[in-house]
Order: sequence, then structure tokens, then C-alpha cells
Amino acid sequence: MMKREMKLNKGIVIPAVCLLFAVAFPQIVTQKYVLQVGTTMLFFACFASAWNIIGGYAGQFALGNGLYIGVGAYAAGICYVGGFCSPWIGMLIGMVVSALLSAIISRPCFRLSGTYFALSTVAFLYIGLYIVSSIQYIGDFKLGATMGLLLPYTGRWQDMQFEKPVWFYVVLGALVIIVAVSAWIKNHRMGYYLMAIGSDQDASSTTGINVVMYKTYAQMISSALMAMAGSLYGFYLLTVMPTKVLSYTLSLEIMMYCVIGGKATLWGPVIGAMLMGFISEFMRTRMGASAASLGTVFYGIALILVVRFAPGGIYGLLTTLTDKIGGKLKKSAKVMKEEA
Amino acid sequence: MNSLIQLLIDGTLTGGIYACVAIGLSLSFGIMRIFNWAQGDTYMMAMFILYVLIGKTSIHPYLAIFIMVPLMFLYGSGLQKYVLNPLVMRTKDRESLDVMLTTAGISYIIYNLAVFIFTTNAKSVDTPVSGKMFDLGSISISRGKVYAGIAILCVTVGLELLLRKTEIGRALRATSQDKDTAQLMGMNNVKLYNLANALNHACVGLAACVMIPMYTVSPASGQTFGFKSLIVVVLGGKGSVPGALLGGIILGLVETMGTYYFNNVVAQMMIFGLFALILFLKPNGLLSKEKS
Repeated sequence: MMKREMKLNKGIVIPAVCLLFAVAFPQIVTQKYVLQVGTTMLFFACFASAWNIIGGYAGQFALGNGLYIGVGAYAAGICYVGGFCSPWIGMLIGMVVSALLSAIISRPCFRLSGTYFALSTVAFLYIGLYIVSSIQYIGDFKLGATMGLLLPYTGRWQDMQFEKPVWFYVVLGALVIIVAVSAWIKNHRMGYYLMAIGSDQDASSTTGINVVMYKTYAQMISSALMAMAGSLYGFYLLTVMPTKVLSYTLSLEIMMYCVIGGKATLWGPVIGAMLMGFISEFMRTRMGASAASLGTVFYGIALILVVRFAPGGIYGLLTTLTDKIGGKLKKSAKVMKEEA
Repeated sequence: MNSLIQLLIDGTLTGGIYACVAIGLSLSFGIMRIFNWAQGDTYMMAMFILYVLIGKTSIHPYLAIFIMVPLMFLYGSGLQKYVLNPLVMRTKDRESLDVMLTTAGISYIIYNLAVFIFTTNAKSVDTPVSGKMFDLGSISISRGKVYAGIAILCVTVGLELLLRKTEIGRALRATSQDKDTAQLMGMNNVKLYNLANALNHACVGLAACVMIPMYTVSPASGQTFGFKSLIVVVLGGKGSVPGALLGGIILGLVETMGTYYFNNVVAQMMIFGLFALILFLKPNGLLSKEKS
């Protein structure tokens, strides 16, 4: 009983400290630029954590899931620009549409495996990108084809627009929601099933897990969360452009954050997004804008190194490190006791 | 009528060009079950090397084949030996997710390095072949595309002969069918894999040489050609060399016709739609004999 309480404390204390720091962050930092970087990093953490549910837990490399970021952004954007309803309701619509769309699309996709599955999701991302980029008008409503939707700035919270420090808190709230959902899944039956599917699909099927059903659930939850963060992302940028929100590169980066941080772990994607975002911004400010792409070269190198030498990602490295240190401390404490 | 013939010829030749980039991928995917996500970016890298080479020495692009092909051969072999093989050898599965991730990482590195060195602007070089046409009455065909078509035919026949008629080809096919048994029969899988990836990269080097007279090169061209070559391989069937040629031609025709009768965006949409259809209806491709 004691031991269990200790474990619980350790599991809650560190995230709580991080959350406190995050809450205090906009108060400590007054430079707009740093705040902006922090907000962007939080967005990537949101995307990576949402992707982790299908890509990490269930082990399905849905590389085209940037599609649902676009669905969310466009749903909220259309509702707002067209004056149909509040973008907050648009966000909910986007989440529902994303979940349904992903359920329809993933049926045939899940029949494929490995690379072919990844390819099929990318194909749908591109189909979405080209459809949206070719539509100038829907009826009277101007969708803007490749130029996308321009969102008029009002600064009212009803229109999903905030001051910069408030944006930070809004995205932080989204991240907390996504991580909470992710934690719930991980610690319940669904998470165990997904992990089993992720490690061996055929074996988990023979033990009586309905593989296709659980994969579809994971995909639906993941894409709904993606759409939620995506609609916020569109409003944060104040433009919803097809190449920005329906981007293969963005999808690839989300996957990288997740894998580098540690896939199928709760905090891995968040750590990955924070660390990689920090490194690329650090290089951008230290070495000038031309080095920004050099910073992203580092993502690729980090990905290759992690895959080769540390499949558990940075989170995996950290846990083995703390375990080692903890083990050593215990040992030395034991030795000291014996000596005494 | 003439315009239709013109479109058919153009489409077929453009398809040949896509097949050029993809044919080595089909071969190496068939043998190793490794999908190289960096295929397009590797092609882009070869184009940039060629761009610098021609800019510095103004060498004829077709002569540069004798430099690019060995260079890319060595690069492909080295990449396989030092980066990919350790991953391939440690998994029991046929398809290794780690390898896929690594090649995605390589693609990302090449792309961003190219942006860093050359910026995102498109670049082109002036060569003796650029802009020249064969005029046949009312039809005119780009000379560079005809030469590229001849090159891809030679490569297809050459690779088929290598696979079917030589001892190395037999070894390659054997390890593609069952790598463990092939190893037990005394084949050196590691060396065969090195060879397969080296051949793939050599084909990409060749493709760059025949394409630089007609195409501009920018970091983004990697993504365009990368996806097209993946589509070509899936269309044609994994591991089938003639299949890659067929897939390329289908892709070229669909794109040319779609662009002519609708517009470019619709053409791209049709390509990806066709791709999704093939993936779901015939995931092993049009010319593959293998059962799923």
C-alpha cells in the first residue's frame, strides 16, 4: 500500500511541477517572441500527443493524419467567416466530422499493413489537399482555393481570438485535455488492447481482441483531438491555408516529435515536441534565419539516432537513467545502513 | 486528332521519366521490402549535384552519366551498409518500421540541407539539349524526353536481363523470395542488399542526368517526384521492373490527359484517387504475381 502511494506521488508530482511552470511562464516571460515560440511548441505537443494514440499506442503509422488538422481548421474557419455559428461550435462540428471521416477512410486502410498503410493515409491527405485547393466557391461562400480563408481579426473570445498570453493558456488547456484523454486510454482496457495490437497484430487477434474495431476507435479519437487542436491552430495563424493545415511535412514532423520523444508513452510526444521546438528556435535565434532549416536537419538526425540506438525515445532514456540513479542511491543507502 | 496523338506521346514520355526515378525503387523494394521514403529527395540531391557540376565544368549532361551513376552507386551502397542494414538485420518482420522511419529521416535531412544551401528557388541549367524539339509535321516532341525514353527502355531491359539471366540476378530473386532460406543456401544477404540499394541509387543518378535538360530543380521537387515514384511502384507491383515502366506510363498519361482536359489540380487529384483505388482493389499492383 505504501509503495503504491509513493508511485502515485512520483507520477503526479513531476507533471504538476511542469504544469505550474507552464502556468507561470507567460507571467515570467514578457518578450512576445518567446511567448510565441512557447505557444507554437504547445501546439506541436498537442498534435504529437493526439497522433500518439493511433501512431504510438496502436502502432499504426498513419502518416497522413495532418488531414484532420485541416478538417478542424476549415470547419471552424467556415463557420466563422460564413457567419453560420461561433467557431467554438465549428470546432465541435470539425471534431465530429473528423471522427466520422476517419472511420470511413480507415476501414479500407486498415486492411493494408506497414508501409502500404502509411502510404494510403498519405494518399487521402493529398486527395484532401487537392480537393480543397481546387474549390474557389461553395455556392456563395468563398473558400478561396489555394489562397485559403482569411479570418478577420476581432480579438473577441467568442470568435476564438485572444491576446498572445491568453492564447498560451488556451493551447495549454487543449494540451491538458489531450494528455488526459491519452492517459485515460493508456490506463484502461482500450490502451492495453491497443498496445497489444501495436506489438503483434496477429497474436492479439487470436487472443480475441477485435483488432479492426479498436484500431478504428483509436483512429477516431486521435483524429477528433487533432481536429480540436487544428481549429485552434488555424485561428492562431488567422489564415486557413491548404498548404499550411493540410501539409504532409507537418504530418511528418508530428510523427518525428512523437518517435523522438518516445512513442506509446504518455509524456514522450510532449517531451519530443518541446525539445525539438526548442532546438530549432535556439538555432534560428543564435545563427540567423538561414540556419532555421539547419535546425530542422537536426530533427532528421535525431530521428535516425533514436530509431537506431534508443527505440524508447528520449522518455525511455530518461526513465532508464532515473532508474539507474535510483538503484544506485538505494544500494548506497543499503551499504550505509549495513556499515552503521 | 493530332492533339490526341500529341497528348498520347507526351504522356507516355512523361511516364517514362517517372519510371526512370521509380524503377530502382521497385527493384530494391521487391528484394528487401524496404520502401525508400527518401527516393524523391535522393533524386533532388542528384539533380543539385549535377547542377553544381554542370555550372562549374559545363559538362554535357549525358556525359555526366559516367560520373553520376558510379557516384550514386557508391552512395547507395554506403547508405545501405552503414545506416540501413543494421536495422534490417535486427528485425524478424518482413517489413521493418524502423527502416521506414530512418528513410523518412534521411528525406527530411536532404530536403532541409538543400533549402539551407540552395534556398527554395527553382534553378535550371542551360544544356545543349534544353528546349530542342523533334518536329514531325503538326506534332512536336521534346528531344530530351525522347532520349530519356530511350534511356529508360535500356535500363528496363538491362535490369530484367540482370535479374533473369545472371547468377547475381538469381541470387537477388532468391533472397527476395525467402531471405532466410537464401542465407542457408549460402547467399550473402548483406552484400545482396548493398547491391540492390546501390542499383536503385545508380538508376536515380541516371534519371537525374537525363532529366536535368528539361526540369528545373528546387528542394520541393523531391517531394513531387518522391510520391510519384511511390505511386509508380504500387501501380506496377512491387519488385516488377516492367511493372514500374507500365505504372510510370499510366501515371504520365493520366496526368497529361487530366491537365489537358481539366486542370493541373484535378490531374493530381485523379492520380491520388487512382492510387487509393489500386491500393484497395489490387494492393499487389497490376503486374505482380505474388499473392498477398
